[in-house]
Amino acid sequence: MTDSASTRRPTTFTLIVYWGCILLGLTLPLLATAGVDMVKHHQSFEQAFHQLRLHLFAPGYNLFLIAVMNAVPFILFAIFTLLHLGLAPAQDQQLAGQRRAGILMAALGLLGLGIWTHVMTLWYPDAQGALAYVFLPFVQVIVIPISYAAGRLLRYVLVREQDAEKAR
Amino acid sequence: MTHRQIWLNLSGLGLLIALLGLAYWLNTGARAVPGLIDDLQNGDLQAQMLAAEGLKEIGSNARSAVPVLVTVATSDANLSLSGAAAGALPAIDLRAARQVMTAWLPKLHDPDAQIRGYAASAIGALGPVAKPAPTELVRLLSDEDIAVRERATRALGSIGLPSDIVMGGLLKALRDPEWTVRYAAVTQFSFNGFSSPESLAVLRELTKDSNQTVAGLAQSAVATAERLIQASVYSLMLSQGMNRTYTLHQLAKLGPRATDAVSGIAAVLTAEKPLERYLAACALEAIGPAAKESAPALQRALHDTDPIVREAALAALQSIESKMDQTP
Repeated sequence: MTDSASTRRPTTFTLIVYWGCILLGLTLPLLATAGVDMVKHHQSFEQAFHQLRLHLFAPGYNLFLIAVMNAVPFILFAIFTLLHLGLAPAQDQQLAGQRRAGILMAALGLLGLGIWTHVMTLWYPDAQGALAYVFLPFVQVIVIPISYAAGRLLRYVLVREQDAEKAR
Repeated sequence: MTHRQIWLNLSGLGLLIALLGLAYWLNTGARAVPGLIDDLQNGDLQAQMLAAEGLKEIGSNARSAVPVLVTVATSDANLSLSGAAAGALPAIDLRAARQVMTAWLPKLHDPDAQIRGYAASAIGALGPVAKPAPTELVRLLSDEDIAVRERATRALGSIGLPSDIVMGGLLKALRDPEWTVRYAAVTQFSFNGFSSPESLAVLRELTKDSNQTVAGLAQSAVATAERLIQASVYSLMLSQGMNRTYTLHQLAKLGPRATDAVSGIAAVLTAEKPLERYLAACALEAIGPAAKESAPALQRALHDTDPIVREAALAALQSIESKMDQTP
């Protein structure tokens, strides 16, 4: 039973990150748009949803395409997560832990950058604002390996400190 | 995780992507037209405006929306909406666009100044398709109502053709006693590619206008006129298929100065979009005798499926031939 629980937990974690990234990647621009409409423009939820529906395929807005563009790095990252964690050797707990830490940090980096860019672009509208949507996926693809490495490094440092404390 | 689990999740992602593709396909192109027609009739102004824009983007595949668009474009219930509907029509159906122009033209003489202004704006929204209207619009530049004169000026700028009549009207508007009308006129020289030696002289005077807003914009218009985009640039844009409607409209405004682009313009006479074929014929008409080499293509355009294109081709041939006759 313990064995089954210890293999199920990493699988659940992998699947949560995998599907979470895909769905958040797709919905993040829409959530940001609705959120800014509600908070900045004081619209009700129904009004914000109505605006979203109107602008989803409207020329010049096309929130659907923005959502798809935004989802690209998230989908790439989700596939990487599935293969990287899904194919990790089950016996090597230390390696699996390091990979999970890297993945978690990369997911946070992706999300953080995405939320910040979308909210700022909508909060301070500008004629060149749409450029942010074009460049964001490229920046996010760069952010993935950097934050992944940072996550693994952080985990390595924390584990080493814990081991040093135990030894003391 | 087992390989089977991994493949299952990847297949799930594939299915999601396929569903997203299907959603996009169903909501764009001709398939979106019924929904946009519903939006156009639903009473929500924002939805109506976006629907008109959407139909314009779809172009000739949105022909089933023409009756509703004509109804909305000829209604004076809301100026922005009738303008948006009128603006969508040229991309969809040139004949319907002309029908809207014909419906609004008598209203340019309406006793109610607001209706006259509405009529000018709606005709202006049709753009170069409303080419027969500028003579009437120029008359409105003597209207007693300031808003009517301003709207007539903007409409002239938006139609742009025939360039001699439009240029005459804009020059008159540049000397209007009301600053808002002068401002509307200067805007056309600053941003819409109009230019002539006479206008440049007036614009230079306007840089010392008593109204600072007009003076500032006139400075920008003078700077624009001094580095005017050459026909060769538009010719290049045309050959690369960049925003053909805009490019052809600009070339038509240039008139004989666009002679270098004749072969490129003539090639557009067989384009898929009627609006592009129409504008190509208008540009060749504006060029006149120098567009002689395009005569065979224009002869073929006399059998075009669209009557407005046929009419424009005939006018172009007449312009080429009649002006050639006048040449010693």
